[in-house]
Amino acid sequence: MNDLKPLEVWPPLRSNDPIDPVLEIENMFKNFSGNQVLSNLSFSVGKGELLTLLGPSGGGKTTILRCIAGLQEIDGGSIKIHDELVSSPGMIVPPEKRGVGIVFQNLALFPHLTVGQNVSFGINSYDLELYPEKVDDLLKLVDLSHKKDCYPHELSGGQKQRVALARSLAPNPSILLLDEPFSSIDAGLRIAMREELRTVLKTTGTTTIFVTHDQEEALSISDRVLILKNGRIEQSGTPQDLFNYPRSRFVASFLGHASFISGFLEGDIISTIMGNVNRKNIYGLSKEYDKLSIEILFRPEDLNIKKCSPKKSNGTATYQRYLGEKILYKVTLSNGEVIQCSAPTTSDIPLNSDVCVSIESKGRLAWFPPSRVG
Amino acid sequence: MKPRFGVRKYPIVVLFSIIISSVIAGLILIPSIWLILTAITVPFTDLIAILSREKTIQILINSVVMVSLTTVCAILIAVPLAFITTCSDIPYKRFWTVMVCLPLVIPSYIGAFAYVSTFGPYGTVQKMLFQFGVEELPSIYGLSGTVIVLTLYTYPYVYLTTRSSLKTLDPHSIDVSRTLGVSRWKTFSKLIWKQIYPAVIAGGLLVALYCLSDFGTPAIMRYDVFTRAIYIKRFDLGFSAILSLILLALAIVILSIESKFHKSVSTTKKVDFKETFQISFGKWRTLLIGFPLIISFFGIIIPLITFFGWFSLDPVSGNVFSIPYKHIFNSVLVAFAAAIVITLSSTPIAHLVARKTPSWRGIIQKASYIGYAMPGVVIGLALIFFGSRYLGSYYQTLPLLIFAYVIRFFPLSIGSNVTAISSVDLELVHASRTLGMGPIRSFFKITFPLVTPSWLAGFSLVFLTVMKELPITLMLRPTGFETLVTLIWKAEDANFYGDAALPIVMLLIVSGLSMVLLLMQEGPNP
Repeated sequence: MNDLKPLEVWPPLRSNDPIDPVLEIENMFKNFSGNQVLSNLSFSVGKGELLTLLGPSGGGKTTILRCIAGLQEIDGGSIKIHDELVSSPGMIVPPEKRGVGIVFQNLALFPHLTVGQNVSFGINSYDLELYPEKVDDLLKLVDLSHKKDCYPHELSGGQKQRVALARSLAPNPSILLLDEPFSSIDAGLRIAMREELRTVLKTTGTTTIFVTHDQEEALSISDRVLILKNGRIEQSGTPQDLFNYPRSRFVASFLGHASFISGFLEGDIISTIMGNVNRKNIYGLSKEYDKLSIEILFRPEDLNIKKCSPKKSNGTATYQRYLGEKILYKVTLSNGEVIQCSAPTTSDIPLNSDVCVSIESKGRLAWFPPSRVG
Repeated sequence: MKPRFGVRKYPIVVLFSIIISSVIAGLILIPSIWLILTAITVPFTDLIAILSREKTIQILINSVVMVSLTTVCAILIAVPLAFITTCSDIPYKRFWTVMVCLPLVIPSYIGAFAYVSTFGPYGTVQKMLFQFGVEELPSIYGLSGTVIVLTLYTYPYVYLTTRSSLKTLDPHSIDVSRTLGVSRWKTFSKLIWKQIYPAVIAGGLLVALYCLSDFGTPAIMRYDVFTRAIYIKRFDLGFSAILSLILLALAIVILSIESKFHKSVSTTKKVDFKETFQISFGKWRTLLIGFPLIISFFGIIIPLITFFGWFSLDPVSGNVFSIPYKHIFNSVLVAFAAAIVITLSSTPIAHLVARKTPSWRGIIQKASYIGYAMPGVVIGLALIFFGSRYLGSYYQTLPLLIFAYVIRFFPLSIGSNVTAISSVDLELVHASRTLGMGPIRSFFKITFPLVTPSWLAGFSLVFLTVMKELPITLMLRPTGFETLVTLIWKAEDANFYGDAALPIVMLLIVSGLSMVLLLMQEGPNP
């Protein structure tokens, strides 16, 4: 984003690349009628890992899944499954020979088959003879044994979603792809469903790639998250690493409420309008940046807000929104910067009142070069 | 985002469809193009002579008057009927809805047959009234009879479009209008009529197109319009080709206006309100039943009484109940063959339409829809001459007859085929592929079972419709090849009513089934 880059090595401290990769994508390119949708994409997924592709809509997430499933050719690079080349420009192993399962956004249940027939669709007859109980086991796993003879149109949204999951798990795919599987389910049920999904996937030990544009969903379900923007990987890492150590303002803002507040580094102290921060508390800010303006990323939970007298105050609460368990405030600081902070619902800070915002971070903070240079 | 498959612009299946579709569309167009070329190459002096012939002008005037009168009458009957059976509080609304739709089941030429035999110079009514000293009824032949019969058997087109448009009106908007202090009449003219008139006019134009291309009714009523004149003068090529061209032009004009209204009807939001707005007529409501009662009396009861009365007549050929096996077999044979050919050959075009590719598919689609605009007599005429000139050995053979049916009823099949193909979400096939099924097994396990029901419905619709087709069958059947329809036609010609009774009942059943299919296709609310 900017020329000024941190000098120190950033996290993740854990290795980003899985030791035992099931899927390896190298330098993949994909164009649609002249537009580059994916450019130079490389990543791999380890055995049993739950990797999430997170990014705004239209970022090429679904295209990646379709390329992995063999439903689309690629224009550059390669895709390997279990060390075997399955896609390269001009070469494609057909979807039925890849062992890749997929749950489509619209679920694509076969309307003319019952739940049981849908689930057994991908199991070949030889396997069914050996394990006649396989369909029942899968239905039990997703808690739908009682719906075995129903048709898809008789099921609720959540039930359909579970049938689609069971169906794609049935042939024991080496990789399972999930394309926004919760998009048609109402918000309340979604949280329960994703917990359930994670349990099922971990029980079966399935290697999974999950696509979503919902950051909360991504952070809560995944082992590792890959953030995509315009067909490129913006950053990848564990949910904690991404949340705490975003490498770009885009990642920082995409993962939650983020405010960037300017500070001036002098020796070991950075001074901001809300008080001073020790340089050691800022990740990767070394002495070489002395006498420089930087911006520090604050999340609402790094800050404390309280009512105070106009004399002591450093800002005005200009906006408030109830988030349920807490209230989110936007405060216009006296130097014109805007910051988002939260307070318990019991606090009674009226709008347009004078407030004091102070820094209360216990962890390390991230910093960025100033966005407006000069 | 259009997926590109490597260097090929279209996937192989689509490419295949494009090639086959273009060939089929071309074949369908050949006879009409040839007819147009023939008409154009008539020497200019002859052309002027034909156009200025008193007969030609008379035919044009007759046709326009007949079409306009019928359209207006159909609207005048259908709109109040739609209101009464949809938005009023008359009892047994469902029953009356079915009753006023029933005339659709009677092909208009059979209706005309019934009317001539009942109200004609030697008809039942005349005989009864003769005892009371009425020497002569006003003649049923000519303009009045044609308009009466055509109105009775085409108003359901307006009725159906009006009714479905009334059902899309928000019942609360009427209440809102009244609470804003707007009077009943103004509410109707400013709110209701403004919203339903495109549907009314679209229905009216369908009626106009039907009347313009109908051959049987004016022929039986001995009223000289384009279709009758073309049929009678079918061996005078120059004259009939020019008449056909004028007729085709009129039909295309009507169709193009219709498609505009149709678009505005189908693009208005299709919210299904659980209720339709209701107007309470209080003590008048019983009186309102009178209207649908009168209409269905003339449209349904009279012809049915007439036909069943014929069973008491002695037919020329043996028993009135003797089943005409040969005719049934011939009818089924040509209808089945035509339905197979049409359904199969329209599949590639439907495939392109359903998958919205290529961008110029509209040309193929429009070409294959020529049958909508071309009246049966025009197709018949084109093939008589085209066949006798270039297809010597095929002239007056079944393949040529079936080819004519293909041109005429091709559009009928595209609709249901598109529904069939669009009912298979591509994602379903993809899901099957990722579950380990190859493309061929995916086709048989997913695509085929999903497509089959609507495909069969489309097939049956074409089958039943071909069975009751009149002018093409008359003009192109091989010598000595008789079907149910030609049997009825001959009986009408010779006033042998007893011979026609059983075939007509059979044809009404066929026709009834085809209407049920057609209405099922258009939506769950008949």
